[in-house]
Amino acid sequence: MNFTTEERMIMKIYGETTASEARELNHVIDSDISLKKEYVELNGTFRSVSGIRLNPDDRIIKNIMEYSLISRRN
Amino acid sequence: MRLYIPSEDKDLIVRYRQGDELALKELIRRHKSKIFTTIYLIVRNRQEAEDLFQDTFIKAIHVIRAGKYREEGKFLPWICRIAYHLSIDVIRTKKNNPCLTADSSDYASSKLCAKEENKEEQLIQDEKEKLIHELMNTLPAEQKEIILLRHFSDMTFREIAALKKISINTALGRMRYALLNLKKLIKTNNYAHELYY
Repeated sequence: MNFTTEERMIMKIYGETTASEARELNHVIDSDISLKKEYVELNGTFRSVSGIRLNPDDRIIKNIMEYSLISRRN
Repeated sequence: MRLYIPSEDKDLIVRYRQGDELALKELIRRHKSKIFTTIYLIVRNRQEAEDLFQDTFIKAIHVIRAGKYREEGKFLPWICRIAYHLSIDVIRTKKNNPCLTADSSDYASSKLCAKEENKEEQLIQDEKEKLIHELMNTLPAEQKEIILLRHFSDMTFREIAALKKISINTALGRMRYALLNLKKLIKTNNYAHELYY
């Protein structure tokens, strides 16, 4: 499968490259200012989006646990 | 109270099948945010998202107990696939029955139903929901979907490509544009600090 450098940058950010692929990609990124700028931007946004987390109300989890217990008894 | 030594998800699933209810509690604790955020980003309504979160786990409980869960990948992408399909079904039902459609920008109205027992926590949660709405609603649907499946549901780009019947290159391209678009939005609206509290 062939990937562009930009696509490989996305794979690296999401941990879908091997160590050797990541090393090779680092060399490519470091030798191109515009690629490096884009990589920093993509990585920064990835970290920002990682900060977004919502949680269900505790009563929902309680409901699930109760359902699990009752249905096991039945 | 029994404390859990960190176990892998697959060990918790085995323990749950053997009757250890706390193993299920630990699985929920570990993954609730990502699963709930995935659902919420599809249905955009807290109450519906909570119902679907519950339905997702009930379905997962039945599959695990029936011995039909196969540890082919990871638990999170597996359960997020269940959540994704249930949520999409709800959206489709709404499209076919417009009278069932709650105002999809109704995160504000859903707030009316929220409990007030912990107002400060609720306020933080409300701000996050508002922010997520603003951020995600600016993205084209296909880019939003990639964020949802890769970022929150932990599916690999290969898994997403198979699920959506697109090439891996297309999935990667959509993610790239999604991140670049979000970057612009975060910068323009100075959201960065809000995303980290």
